[in-house]
Amino acid sequence: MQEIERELIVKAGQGDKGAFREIYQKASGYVYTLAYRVTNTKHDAEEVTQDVFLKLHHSLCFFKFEASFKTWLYRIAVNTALNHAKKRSRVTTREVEEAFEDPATVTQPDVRKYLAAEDAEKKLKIMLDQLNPDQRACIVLREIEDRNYREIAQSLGININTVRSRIKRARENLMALGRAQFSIEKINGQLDQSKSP
Amino acid sequence: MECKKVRDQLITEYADEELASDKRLVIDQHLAACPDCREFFVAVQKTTVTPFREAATLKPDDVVWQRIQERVAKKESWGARFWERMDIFISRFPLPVPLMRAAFVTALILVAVVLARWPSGYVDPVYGYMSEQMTFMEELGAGNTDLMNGDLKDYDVMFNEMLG
Repeated sequence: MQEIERELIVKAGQGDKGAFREIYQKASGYVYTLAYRVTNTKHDAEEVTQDVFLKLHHSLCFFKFEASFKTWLYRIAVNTALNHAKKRSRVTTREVEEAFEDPATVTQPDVRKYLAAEDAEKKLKIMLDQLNPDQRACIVLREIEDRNYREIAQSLGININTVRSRIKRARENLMALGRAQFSIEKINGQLDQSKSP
Repeated sequence: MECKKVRDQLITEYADEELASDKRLVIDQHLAACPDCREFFVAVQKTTVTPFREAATLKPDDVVWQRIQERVAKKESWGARFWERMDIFISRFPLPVPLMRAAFVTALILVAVVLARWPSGYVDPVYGYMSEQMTFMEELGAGNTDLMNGDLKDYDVMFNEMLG
């Protein structure tokens, strides 16, 4: 995300429409990407982006600069996205947790789609589809936002051990999906080695 | 250390650099001696970490900004602005905003209770109307139809007076 100057935030908080638009231009990509990774659908990511900027518009005047603007923004964004994804989820969180208890629940069609996906973005979408919203939020904060376990726990208001177990379950699911790809690459690597003199 | 315990850490704290240096050293030593765990860790990196690190930043469609503008304009109607200004006013006090809001609502309730108990000559128009209707129904029930079509009766009186 591009750096957002303090002056711009103050101006937008005082109701300056131009300043608010500039903040949107600088931060919308960041918020949308975060929302898209957590909700994993374009439509939901757009709704979340809209909600986040409306919340921002309402609360910019209260921003006290005690934390960095980016930290404040990603917390609003990830929690809004998570709540949205949970609401959207047709099954209860408990059912989802149970369904993802066993990494073997990754289905064969998912593996085939994953192997067939040509670009990285499609692959990533299929990968994130294997996770429930809670797991997605933890993985996104860890891998994309580069937050440590303590920061993730603080942002989501959960225990650090819960963060660890969600990341563990998420990676087990992702490994089950990626195993086929990994095996193919390994075989190819061995073939290449045997060909070389 | 058992491979199972090592892998449990490889997939979490080790991959995320959350381990203290002494514990990390124990895992490093195990990895140096165990090709299966080394391969497991490569798979962890390749299938669960690298794809996210290479993820692109996306951009929302222009329609999102249009919708935000519409909602902001709607919000800036008088009613919404009143509460927004109230929040700004409240935020100037040293107490947290939710506490100030609660205090404001409590004060409003107290004023309402005091006013409701205060003796007053004021007659609620709704109460007045209901009372009138009840009297009318009672009279009607008792067989008295004098109050029916009151307005028309007045016109009749006016008409008769005009004719002299």
